[in-house]
Amino acid sequence: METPTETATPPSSSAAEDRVLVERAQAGDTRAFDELVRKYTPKLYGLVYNMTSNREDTADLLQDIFAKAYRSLKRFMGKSSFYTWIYSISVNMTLNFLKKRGRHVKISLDDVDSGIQNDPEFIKITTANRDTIREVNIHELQKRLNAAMMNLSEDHRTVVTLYDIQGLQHNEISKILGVSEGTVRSRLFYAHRLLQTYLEDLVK
Amino acid sequence: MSEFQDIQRLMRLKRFEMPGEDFVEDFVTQFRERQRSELLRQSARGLLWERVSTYFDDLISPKWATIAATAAVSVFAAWGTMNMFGSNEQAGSLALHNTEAVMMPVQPSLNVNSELIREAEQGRQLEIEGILLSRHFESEDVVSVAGVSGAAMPVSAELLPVSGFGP
Repeated sequence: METPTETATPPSSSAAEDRVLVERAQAGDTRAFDELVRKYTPKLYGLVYNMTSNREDTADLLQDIFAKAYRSLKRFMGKSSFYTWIYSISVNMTLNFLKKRGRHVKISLDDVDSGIQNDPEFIKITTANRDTIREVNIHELQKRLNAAMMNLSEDHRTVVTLYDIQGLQHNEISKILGVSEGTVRSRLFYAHRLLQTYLEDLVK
Repeated sequence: MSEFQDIQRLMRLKRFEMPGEDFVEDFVTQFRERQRSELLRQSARGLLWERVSTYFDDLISPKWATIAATAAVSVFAAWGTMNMFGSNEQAGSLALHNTEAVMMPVQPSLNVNSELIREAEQGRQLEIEGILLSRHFESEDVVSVAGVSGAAMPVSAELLPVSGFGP
């Protein structure tokens, strides 16, 4: 059974905070919307960056995403959480962007957080696969992972980003993408199998 | 234990790929500037529209301008329609005449009213004969009167009996 190690789901208090901020923003309080932007920028950055593999595109697209969310905020009725709503907008806009961009991909890598050296996952991987990983430079690893992600289809890349990197649950992903949980699991299975083929030498 | 656990761990390392510390604050500032410029653009458009409409308000009342424009368009449309129909009718009647001329045989007279016409003509003939006779008799009287009084009366020669001029 595949399980994400951490969950990105906001606690109920966070959802309640969001609701208050959304109501204030709907009433015309731009500072409230700024708070929402500040809160969701890191999460959505991770989503968009891992789907586009380009820093400049990510920053531009995020601006468009928040601008669209601001324009559509009056129509947000609160049937779903703001979290699910903004994620849905982000995924749809990113997929549309990728369709327009086509195959002309310019990969630009973000700086890897210096904390990676002390991360238990990283230590575990590097010690478990000492023969291969220890020889691989962190930036080289980063390039390999990005290249493997870009080899996936957009649908597969989306579920890997949301599940493995962002730590969302299957049911949350199904709500965001508007597909069944079974479809999410199936896409994840095929995506993992493909990734294992592309990164075979790193995870043998 | 998942068969893909290692690959999942590996992919999870991508969460360390993050922009610099100042990114979020810079992003929010940029977003605010963008929102403000959009608002300004909208208000600039609104201001331009307001100035244009104020200018035309001063120039001419928009109500009357609209009415005048509508009337002008209506007149022009009516004139155009009449011209179109007029030319169509002419063309149509000409075509009809031509068609009749070609298709219909020449009819010397209409049988329907021939009796009436004949009666009218007879009546008129009778009337004319009556008038001529009465004038004829009048002229005889005149002649006879002239003959009695010896005064020359202006009598038409046509009405005088031919025998009266004889030797």
